[in-house]
Amino acid sequence: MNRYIILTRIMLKNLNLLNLRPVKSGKSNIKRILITLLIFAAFLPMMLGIGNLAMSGYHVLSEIRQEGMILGIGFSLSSLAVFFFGIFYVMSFFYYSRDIESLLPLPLKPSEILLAKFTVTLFYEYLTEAIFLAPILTGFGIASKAGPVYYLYSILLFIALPILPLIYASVISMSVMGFTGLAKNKDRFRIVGGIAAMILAVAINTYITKLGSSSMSARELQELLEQGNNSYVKTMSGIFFSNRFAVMALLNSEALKGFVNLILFVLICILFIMLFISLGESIYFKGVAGMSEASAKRRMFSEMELERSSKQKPTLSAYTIKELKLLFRTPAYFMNCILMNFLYPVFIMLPLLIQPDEMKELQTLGTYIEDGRGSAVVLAAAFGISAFITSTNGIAASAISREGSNIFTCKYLPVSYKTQIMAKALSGISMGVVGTLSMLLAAAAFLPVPAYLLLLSAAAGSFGIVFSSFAGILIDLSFPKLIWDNEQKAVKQNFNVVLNMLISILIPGIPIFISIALRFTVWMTFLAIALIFGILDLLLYSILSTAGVRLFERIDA
Amino acid sequence: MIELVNVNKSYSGIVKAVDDLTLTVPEGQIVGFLGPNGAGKTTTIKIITGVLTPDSGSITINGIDIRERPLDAKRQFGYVPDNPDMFLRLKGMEYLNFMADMYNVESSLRMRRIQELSESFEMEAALNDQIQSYSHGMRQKIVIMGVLIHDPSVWILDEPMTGLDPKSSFTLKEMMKNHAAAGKTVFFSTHVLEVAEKLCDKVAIINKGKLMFYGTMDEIREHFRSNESLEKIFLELTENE
Ligand SMILES: Nc1ncnc2c1ncn2[C@@H]1O[C@H](COP(=O)(O)OP(=O)(O)OP(=O)(O)O)[C@@H](O)[C@H]1O
Ligand SMILES: [Mg+2]
Repeated sequence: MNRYIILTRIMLKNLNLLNLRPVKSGKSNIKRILITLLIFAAFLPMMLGIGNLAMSGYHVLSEIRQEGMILGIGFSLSSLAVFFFGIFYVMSFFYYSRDIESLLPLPLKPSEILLAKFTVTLFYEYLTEAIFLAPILTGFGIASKAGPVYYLYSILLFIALPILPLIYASVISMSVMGFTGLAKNKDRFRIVGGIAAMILAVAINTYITKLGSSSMSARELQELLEQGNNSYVKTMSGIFFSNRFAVMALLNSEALKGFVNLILFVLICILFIMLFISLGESIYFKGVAGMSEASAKRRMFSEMELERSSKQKPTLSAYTIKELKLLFRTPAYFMNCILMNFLYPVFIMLPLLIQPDEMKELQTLGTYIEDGRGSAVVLAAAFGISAFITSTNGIAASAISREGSNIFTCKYLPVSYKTQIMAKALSGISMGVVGTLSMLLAAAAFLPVPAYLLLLSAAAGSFGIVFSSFAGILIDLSFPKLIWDNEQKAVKQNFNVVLNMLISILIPGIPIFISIALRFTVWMTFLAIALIFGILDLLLYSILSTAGVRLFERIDA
Repeated sequence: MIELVNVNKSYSGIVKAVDDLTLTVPEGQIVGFLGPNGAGKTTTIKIITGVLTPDSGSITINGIDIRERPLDAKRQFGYVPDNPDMFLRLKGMEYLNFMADMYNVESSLRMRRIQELSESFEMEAALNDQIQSYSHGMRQKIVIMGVLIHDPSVWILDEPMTGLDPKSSFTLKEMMKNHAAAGKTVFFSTHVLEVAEKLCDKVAIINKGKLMFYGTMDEIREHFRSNESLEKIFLELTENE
């Protein structure tokens, strides 16, 4: 137990959760704090909105004495989010993390390492919860004029809620990763394993939502709701079954019943933790051992291979190809930056295949598109989506951060910083193109979009792709996150990526809004986008080649 | 030729890592850079290669100022950093070609060099695998090969012999001798005093960022009026007051 606490403390210290702890003393820390505040400020409207929604929802639902639904939905969605993010977090903290190598030789039980890592992951989940669940709990509390016991219970539940979903995520990831010990090519298997875990998560997710929607007909639901007395809460079940105890605890916080439910909830958590530990003791190390092994063939190269690979390439393209190779071959980068670009068609098709009814609605959407106004909206949307897709892959916004402690290599190579910046931007742009194209093609397969509109969308999209990539690398040049101990942190826990996503939604949103509000035609929309973003892209290009280069020079290696 | 004039560098304004260092590494010579742990060797080398910016002072390589014409200066040297763990997901062959592309080495020339170098360092069978799968010494070798592939006139090597097996170490030392004999520059840091004693035309000894001594082996002996080994002299020189 003691060693568990020590381990957890060290890991948390290393984690630098909010990016706030100074890494090196100096002025850049003020920037760091500012940007963190900025991002919280960006989330604030959303949190206030959610809190507001919970309050007004309370007033409506308390009329029919079903106010527990608010908490029920809040807990369910939070659990789902925790579970989904948990898959990624567990992969990165339990397996991809570099500290594993130094922990394995120490006389520690697998469960001690596992539990410490689990705790650290929990802290990340609290961040997720803080944005979503905290406003709901607070909003509900204010609306129901709850007493101090309610808030005390809320805090306890806030802390305990992610445990169950995170255990599910851990068990799934650990089972998948348990097989990597058997695989020959570990990197590739880890990538496949990651994909498998993700698809499993999506499948479970769809399954749960389907259960929720179809197990009860509309009439049954209405009858249930008419019973009042928070009857809805009693039907909560499924894999997050214990959430109903959490809701009951809060609804009856002033009564003994609430306390009993709270205890029940906590007991279930403890039980699951114990199961998790005993399971982890046997399967965790199977996946971890040999994490750093790489496959090697030790095969002589042939004359021909030598000749083929030794073709001289221009510096810019050689550098870009190197960036892409690293992105494709590093499991953490592949999962976060590359994979999604190819999966968009799957995500579009999957729901449609599951629910064929919606295909019909799409046909109506088709006639809407053929109408001139509709196509203008489609064009604007395609443009916005292209910028957004490019920002979500995070390649440009983490291009400098990903160098990590190897940033010094950028400094002694005889390649100008401008070329290096452009090569990094190009790697983001090229994957943005892949993502946008796969999205457009998937859309074209299901929607009767005329060819000219597709081409126009691709053309407009290219402005968005370039914009997002340039903006991303400019952000990363300003606040590079170079100190990390596992690659996942460079891309996933990097606020630069989030910031770029916000920018890539907000700024392209302006012409979209204008063209819809002013009822632009397709061509006017296209012209507006091309003009505004043509200029913006050029502007960013010149900023990158001047100020961007200076920022790169100043990065301490 | 490498010239440092009054170079200063402190980390976060507190630790003075390099203290008013003036040093000229002439052409046609091998210069060893010695000093205890934390003396400032790596820092100095990083300043020369443009990885770190000095607080003050000037650095020229073959007469080209690294801060005024950084790209031209960087084309003059090849640099082996103290830690070879980089570009781990590239295959050895891809890394060599990447370096060759960065230094604009022409195709047929690089092909010949890849063949020669992989032979002398016995790396032919490893070039098809990712650097991640290499041992420490193999990583060291691939980084050295990445430098030699563009045949720079100035070699700057930070503890290059660490982890090399006897044969590779011997190969590298021979290469360094040949390079200097061809009138070019070799500057390397090491902790192995025997290597320095046998290999170097001159040694520079640094302690706490300050240059304690710079001269040939003979000068060193003369200076200390002794026939002591370099080890004794080194220990005396760098002893904490
Ligand atoms: N990134 C850094 N941040 C702060 N201080 C540093 C950093 N790198 C080195 N130092 C400090 O600078 C001084 C010189 O370090 P340097 O790495 O140049 O020594 P060295 O001579 O190469 O040592 P070694 O023989 O161990 O390689 C030391 O006091 C060290 O603590
Ligand atoms: Mg050193």
